[in-house]
Amino acid sequence: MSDGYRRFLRPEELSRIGKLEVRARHIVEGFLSGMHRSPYFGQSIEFAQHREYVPGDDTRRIDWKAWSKTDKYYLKLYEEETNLRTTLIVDVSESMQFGSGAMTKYEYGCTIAAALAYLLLRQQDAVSMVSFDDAIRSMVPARSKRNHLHALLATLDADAPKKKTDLHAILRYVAEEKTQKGMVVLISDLFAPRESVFKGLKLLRQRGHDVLVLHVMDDQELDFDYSGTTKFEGMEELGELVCDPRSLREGYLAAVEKFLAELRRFCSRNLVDFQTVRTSEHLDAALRHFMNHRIGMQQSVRN
Amino acid sequence: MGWLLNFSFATSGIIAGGVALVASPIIIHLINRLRYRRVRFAAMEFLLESQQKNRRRVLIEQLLLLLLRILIVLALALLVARLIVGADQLAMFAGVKTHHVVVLDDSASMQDSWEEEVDGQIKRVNGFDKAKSVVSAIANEGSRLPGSQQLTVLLLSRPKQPLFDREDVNEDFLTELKTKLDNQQPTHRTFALEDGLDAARKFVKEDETGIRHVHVVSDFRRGDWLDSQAISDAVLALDKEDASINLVRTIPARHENLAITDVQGEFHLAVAEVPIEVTVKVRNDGEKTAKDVRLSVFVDGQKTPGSESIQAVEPGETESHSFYVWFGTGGMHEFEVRLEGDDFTPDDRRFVAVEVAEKRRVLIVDGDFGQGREVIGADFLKLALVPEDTGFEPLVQSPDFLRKNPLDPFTTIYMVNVGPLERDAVKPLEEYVAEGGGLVWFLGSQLDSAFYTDTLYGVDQVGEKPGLFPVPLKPGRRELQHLAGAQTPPDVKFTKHPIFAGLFEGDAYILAPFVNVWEYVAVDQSRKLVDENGEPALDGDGRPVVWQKDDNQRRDGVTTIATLRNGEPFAFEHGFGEGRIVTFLTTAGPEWNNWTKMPPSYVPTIAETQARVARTDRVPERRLAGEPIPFDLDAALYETEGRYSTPDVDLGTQKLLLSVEQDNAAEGGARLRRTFGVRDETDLLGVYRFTLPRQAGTAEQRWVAVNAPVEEGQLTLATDDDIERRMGQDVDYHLQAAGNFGWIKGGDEGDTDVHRVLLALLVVLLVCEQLLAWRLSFHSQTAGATR
Repeated sequence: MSDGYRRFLRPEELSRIGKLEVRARHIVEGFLSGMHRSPYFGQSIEFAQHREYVPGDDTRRIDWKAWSKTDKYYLKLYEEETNLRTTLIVDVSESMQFGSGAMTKYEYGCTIAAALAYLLLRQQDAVSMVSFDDAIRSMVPARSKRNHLHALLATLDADAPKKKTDLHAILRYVAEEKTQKGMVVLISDLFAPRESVFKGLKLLRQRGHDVLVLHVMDDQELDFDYSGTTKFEGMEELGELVCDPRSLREGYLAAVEKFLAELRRFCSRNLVDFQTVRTSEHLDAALRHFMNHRIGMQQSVRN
Repeated sequence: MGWLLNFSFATSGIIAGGVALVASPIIIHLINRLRYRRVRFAAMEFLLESQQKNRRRVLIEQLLLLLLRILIVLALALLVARLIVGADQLAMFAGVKTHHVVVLDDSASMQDSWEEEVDGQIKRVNGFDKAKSVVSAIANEGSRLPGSQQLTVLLLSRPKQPLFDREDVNEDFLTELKTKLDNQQPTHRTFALEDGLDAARKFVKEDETGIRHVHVVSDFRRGDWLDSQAISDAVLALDKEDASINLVRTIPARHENLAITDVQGEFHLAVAEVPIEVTVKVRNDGEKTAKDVRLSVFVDGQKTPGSESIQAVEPGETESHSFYVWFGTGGMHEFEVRLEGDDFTPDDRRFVAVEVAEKRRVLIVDGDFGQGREVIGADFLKLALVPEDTGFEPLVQSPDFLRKNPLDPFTTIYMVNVGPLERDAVKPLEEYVAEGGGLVWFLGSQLDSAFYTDTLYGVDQVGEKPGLFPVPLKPGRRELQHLAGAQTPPDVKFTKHPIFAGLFEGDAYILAPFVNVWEYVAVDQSRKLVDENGEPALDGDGRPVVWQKDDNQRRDGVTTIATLRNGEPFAFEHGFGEGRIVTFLTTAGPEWNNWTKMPPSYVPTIAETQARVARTDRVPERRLAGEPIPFDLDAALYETEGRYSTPDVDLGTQKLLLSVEQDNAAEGGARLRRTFGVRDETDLLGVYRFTLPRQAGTAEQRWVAVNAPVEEGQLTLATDDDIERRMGQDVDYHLQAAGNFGWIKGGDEGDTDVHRVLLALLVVLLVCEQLLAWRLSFHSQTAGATR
């Protein structure tokens, strides 16, 4: 894949695009235009490949045109059409408002959500959207119409964000709401009680959902390259601390790494796809991860 | 650790600021704590966890970092302020106007030499070479700060004539300094250090601006420092001028030394081809016993065959060694004794100029001569004086000879059985003895006690010295009662006077018992003396003071050298002017005694008497190096231009110009005067030969032997304590060890060790600070690894 298109997907560039819908379209179009044709991608009924006929195969699927040219029997295989239901759960809590670069985590998360929604709707998949902080702030049911995007994006408003409390309750609500199995994409920094997060994700998996966690983290949260005496004022009522950040960096990074390791370990055990996304990374990173995940799903279905 | 308490700063003003700067890291730290930026942060959970875990470590690290930074500032401040540790470290070259006055000791002891490695080779160096190195080093260091350093160099030999007078020290000056220093050599003299200090004070006083250092570059001998109050006074005076005093040793340790301290002998009796006895004294100024000390003898520069040796000389002791030497011809001769194999050479050579006579004339005045009587006493004396070829030429004459002939040619005059003399005979005799001639009295039948007492003794006043005769005499002669028996005491009791040395063997009285005296002249012990007012002198009890037999009570300069059995004084010695007189109260012949019949006793006694009283005023002078040789001649007798030669044979013979001066004291006579050696011409050791032509066409030879002062050979160094005691508590001075040049390089390289340590410490501190700061700070590589 050529990287030329990626210059349009830099957070710095995208942050200039004010309207989320336009931003999403920009990302997706840019992303797609940079891709080569792929046998795994396209409209719902699409030719995939030929296979030599073996006795027992349905003769109706023999490609007679190929027979006329090669005098051999080949079967035409098609991509299987699936009507994927995707639920995008977006964290709009106070901690997501943190950002040291061009975008806050909230903006980045919303952008990812918008891009995914646009991409999915373009494939005529049904997309629903849930935004939450201490509780579910808004929720839009699943639709596959293209004009559904506007309704989806309207849920991402983050006026007066609050502290996350019980992610388990929120995910349980989503699980109960989405009775049909589908894909759940959680876009969050996961700064919530660990047990609560794990319980919620586990519940979704138990209900048969395919879960993808896009863990949005700011560069400073991962690298912590502050210097000089700094007073850190905690979001979500986590207190404050005056310190020389350089002296605490090592311990901080260790704590973050431990947190990430716990998340990865849990997700790995529970077949939850987990990806930490930096807010400084190109926006297509999340999309690519989503695509890979989706293909993985299709392959598993096909096989 | 004493050095920690003993430091100072070259730029002490800076150190105050430096100490203030030490607080800066603390202040910066506190300001940083007060001034912070605010960040709203989401991942507080991890930050708080880190803080909780690392609180103690962070605190220690922060304190450590703070401490390191304080130490860095402190080390920087010390470096900038140029810390000087140790009292022997001086900031000599501080970049401000500085006047260095160097007092350079060029006395003989600075010739003390030793071997050391120079440029990879073993070389012999001496104290003066080292002293010159110190001056060069000071100048070299000063030239690095041109325009600010001045140098004055004073030699102790010429403290009032500086070698360099307030010269600006720069590159050009260094060349001039080297040239002049190369030409300087240590002298053979001894100098008073206080003279140099006083001269230095004058220069210091004249220059009151800027910093003034007085460097005394010397060997600091113990003998100079033990008892010299003058040094203390000079140092104190210098200290009051607010000049820093820097005592620089040049000789690292005491070295062994042997010195010839004296050469004595019967040089005044030297006669051609007659051996004379010479006694050499050798002192060991070292710490080890010197064994088999070899002495070489030179006559007129030629080594005599064989060599003398002293078996051993203990440390601090002086050993005498006697030997005989003879001169083949009459005239002036140079005699030298040289000590072989000693490193300190100035005191290893001792010169004597000797005037060797063809014959020594002796006048014997006998009262019986020319009277038709037998001259018994004179004949015996002649025999005693010339038992063999002793070089003496006795001449027997009557008392009239004294009136009519000059007495100068005679070495000694013997007065034998002389009656009353004419006034015009007494006067030349008095002049002869007063100028250095020797006189010996023997009495006899012609004695006139009244004349001897009133004219020749002639003293009445208490404490006055007698004339030509030592004692008042009673009229007539006395008989000494003869005692028979083996246990009788000897008639004469001789003291251990040099004249009677031949009568003793050690302390044993071997020959004297055989001397019998039958008649003698008694001393008038009842003679009443008068006081200075001419009144009869009275003692404390109001009794008249009479002549006392006890020499110590009498105190008239007369020594009783022999007494009779009955306690009566028998022989005397006393001085008169420059001359010496020996008196025997008996006859020279066998009339009153049997002495002449005892040749083993009589002949040596007469020989020793002759050696003792013979005139010494004609003996060539001996002087110490540097001592001027004055000339004061009668212009009527001498020419105005003489000639001279010094021990430096390369210089050859030179003119000696004498200036004519009218002498107001002398009656009408003009004098020819000159003081030779005012410009150090007499610094060389050896014999200086002056030829003074007379108007009569003859020439007088005046030879002067010049030797090094013996005290310069005492090479024991003053300890630091000796110097401290002499300097006193109130004087601020610095004492530099020999070979230590670190104090000179006070600017950049001085205190080198301390500054290097400081610099190394600073580097270590900076590295530690950087490592710690690096550890405590953010690094992108680590961050990248987290991504």
